[in-house]
Amino acid sequence: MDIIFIVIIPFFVSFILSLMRVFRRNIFFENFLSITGILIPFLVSVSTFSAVRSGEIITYNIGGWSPFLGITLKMDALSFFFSFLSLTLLILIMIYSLSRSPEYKILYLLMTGGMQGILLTRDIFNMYVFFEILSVTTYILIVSREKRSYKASFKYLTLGSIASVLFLLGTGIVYKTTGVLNIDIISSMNIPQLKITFLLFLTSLGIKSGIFPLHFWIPDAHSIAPPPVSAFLSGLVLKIGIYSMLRLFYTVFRTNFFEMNDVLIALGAITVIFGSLLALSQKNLKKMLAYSSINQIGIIFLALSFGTELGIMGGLYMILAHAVAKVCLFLCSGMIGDLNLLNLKSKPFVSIPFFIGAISMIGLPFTCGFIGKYYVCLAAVETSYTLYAGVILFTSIISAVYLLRASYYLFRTSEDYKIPYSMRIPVYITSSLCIILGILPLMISDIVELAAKTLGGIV
Amino acid sequence: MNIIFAVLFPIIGALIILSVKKSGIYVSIFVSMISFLTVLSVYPEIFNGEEINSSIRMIFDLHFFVDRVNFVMLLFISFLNILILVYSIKYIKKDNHGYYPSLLLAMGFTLGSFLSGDLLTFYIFFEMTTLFSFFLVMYRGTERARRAGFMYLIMCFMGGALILISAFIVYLQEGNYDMENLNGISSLLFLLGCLIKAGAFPLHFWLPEAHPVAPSPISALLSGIIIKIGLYGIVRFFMTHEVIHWITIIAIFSMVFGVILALFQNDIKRILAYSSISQIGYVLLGVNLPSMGIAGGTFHMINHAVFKSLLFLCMGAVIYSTGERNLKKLGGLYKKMPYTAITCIIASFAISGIPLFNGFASKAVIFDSLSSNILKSIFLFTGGGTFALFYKLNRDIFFGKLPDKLRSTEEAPKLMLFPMIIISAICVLIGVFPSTVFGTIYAGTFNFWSWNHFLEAFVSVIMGIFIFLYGEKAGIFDIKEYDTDRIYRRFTEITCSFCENINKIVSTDLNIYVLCVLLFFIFLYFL
Repeated sequence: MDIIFIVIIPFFVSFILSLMRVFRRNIFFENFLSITGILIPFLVSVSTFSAVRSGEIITYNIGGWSPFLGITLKMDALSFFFSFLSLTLLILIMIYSLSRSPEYKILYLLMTGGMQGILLTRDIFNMYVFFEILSVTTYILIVSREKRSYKASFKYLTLGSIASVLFLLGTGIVYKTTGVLNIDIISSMNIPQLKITFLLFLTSLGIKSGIFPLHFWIPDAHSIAPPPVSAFLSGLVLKIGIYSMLRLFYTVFRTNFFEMNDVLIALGAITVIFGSLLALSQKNLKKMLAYSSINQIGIIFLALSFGTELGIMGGLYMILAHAVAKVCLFLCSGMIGDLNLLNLKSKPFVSIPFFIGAISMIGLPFTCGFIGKYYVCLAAVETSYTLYAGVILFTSIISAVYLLRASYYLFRTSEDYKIPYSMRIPVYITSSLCIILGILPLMISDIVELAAKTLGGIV
Repeated sequence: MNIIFAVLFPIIGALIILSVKKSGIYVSIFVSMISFLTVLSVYPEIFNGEEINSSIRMIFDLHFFVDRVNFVMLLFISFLNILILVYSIKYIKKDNHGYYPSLLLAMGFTLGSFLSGDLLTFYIFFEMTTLFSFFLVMYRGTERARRAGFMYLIMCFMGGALILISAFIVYLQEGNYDMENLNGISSLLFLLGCLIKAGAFPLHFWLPEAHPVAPSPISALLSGIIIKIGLYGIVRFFMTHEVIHWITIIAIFSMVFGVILALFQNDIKRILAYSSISQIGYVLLGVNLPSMGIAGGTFHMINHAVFKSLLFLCMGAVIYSTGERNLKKLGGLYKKMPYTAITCIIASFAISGIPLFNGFASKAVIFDSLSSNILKSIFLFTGGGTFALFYKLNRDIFFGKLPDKLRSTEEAPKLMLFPMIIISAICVLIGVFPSTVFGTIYAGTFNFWSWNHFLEAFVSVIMGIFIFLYGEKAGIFDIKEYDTDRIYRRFTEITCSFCENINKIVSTDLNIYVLCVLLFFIFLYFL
């Protein structure tokens, strides 16, 4: 099947689901539809694997228009990596949240479609449109019955709208200077871009992904949203910002980041330190996890700012590790009653996956996080920024303190309660993925290497 | 059988226990025995002078390596593991916090770090050992235990981070992780990392906090075995590197301060923890000397593993029977607990270097390889201090007047005495036939029974008696607390309050957020 179905099917299914609200609610059919709505894109994405792995780029022009005028969807190693990762986790989160309302599923599928659109499209304006779909759905998904959640959502809405405006402004300037919107064509034209465009995109995507002075919406939104929503917000939506940065900065602005390499690296380092220190001082488990996301985003940003192949590889592994582990941790947090750190209680089926997710987050050996930390630090030492390797390693000690503290309390006190298997299985799968990806050199590592090779060596 | 199984079996055992949710003591003993047998099974190859290299292909290659030196260590460690587990049967009465899984994991990863053949593998196992022993340190769950546990975690992870950076530097210079490629800054970082784990002098402050708070079998594991990981790294380092002078200084400071601080303590387990620091000093002094010294240091390291775990097990038996760990409140237990008393005295003789016990042999080797007189006199002084320390310890616990509260004390259960008796037998056996062990580490021959060594032991004992009498008279044994970790405490306090303050500063006002976005943009534009 064509790669367009990765984007279309979730939209279509969500449309059908909303039509079904006319009739009496059939939970089985509803669940079936919402799972297939993500499963089919997943299968389509998997079916491109062998082609992508051999270095081929799968192209699809919407409506048969030429890339100059129309929208082009492309699946290369980078897109495949993100699309595969996000779809896998989205299915698991969907299974976890099957008991939620039909509105949730409709919005969730819309969000999935928007996310896949961003990952596949090569048209900057189209990327903007998909970003809007993604953001608007998440604004609504964050809101729960709690009053605080409106406030958190409003904060996110305000900052998200500023981000959208800046993105659109940047797109406009790019169009003015080059006359096209297709990323590949722009990158082959070799027209020097303006610094202001770079900064517009950086600020906009920085808000979306949570770089230091732009991160303010994260702790509130992530801690107040329902657990599955925090899971994909933290695990995936932040990464989409990073993906767009990678795509735009490494292809459109191939000019050494306007000599701002050091600034970007320093920015990443500040984000790392800031996130970890604040995470240490939190009393609420989900807020702590939200700050720990900022910490990890800092590491990813730092790794990608090195601009070397090793750095990109480290960043991508870090994204993989953080997505899987964070989803696992947030899903675990959904099975814990009291989220105050000192009152944590749980059963072993929560505490052990939580522990595995935590050690992957810290980056201890035999977990996926270690591979990421390893490559990032190696890249730092290679580009003689050894200090930053130290920063990453020492903040990982801080994250060890706060994550292991939580996991220690989880181990000690146990509580008896029942959790349905549909909620347990995603947690088991994500936590075992944390370890499997850290031990076995699976196919995904080929994709990471390929993606790093196609992007790297530019700066 | 492949040597890797020695590491894998305890880990698999832990996973089995976790999945069946039983206390799992028999599974633990069984897997630790298999792991011991696995180590034993490579004996013929090692005996023929071969070296075993094997690796596991993962995303990174784990590289394992066995030669004569670490074979002996592995043999002792995997044997001690079994005994510690047997001891735990009675000592840990009710386990509901995953005692055996974490213990097995810690043991398995410890064996792995002694097997590791390159820097990255060493780092990986180093880090994992820290992780699981951290849970063991905090097993009691008291406020003090948590504090100690986090101190342990932070310090050891810091050591791990230093080792990892040194590994990266080596990798980028040479393209591999071999230990002999450490040089300059990377060797400095590596040694610092190992010294933290080993608990050498200026970085030792976590050790007397972490080791005593754990249950006694865990203290035995920590003090006897796990701190040896750092020393093992240093031993491997000096096998391919020249002498480094500042290590000698650290060694001297550890020896002297460790024993002096130990003399001040009144908590029976704290005394042992401080005395570990002093013994670590001996090993460091030894390994920093040319060929025979390294062998002597390694030999002392093995001996220390044996007698220090025995001492901790003895103290565990005393605590088990009396519930008391303050030296001032104990006394006269010789009649009540004869077996514990005898094994404890054997261990004390061993650690003080009395002839016919194992400490004597390794001290003799180190003493012989010392060249300068200053070092020799410091060596003798520390030996004297150790003797005084253990004279004090044994006198206050087992002799003197029996306090009224302890009249109904009974001997520890047989299952606890059994490991203690076996270890004390090992102490005596190595003491009487030292060359069986030393011969595998050191190629040459060494005469243990020369008059020099007896003289050295004799001088130590005399000096010890003098130190003891002087200390008793001057009353230095009554100094209550002696904090050496002020800098660390201060640092953590500052970090915590700093975090709290930032957390307060972080505004909840949306206007500020938008302002931040604008400032960010403008700042970067004009940069």
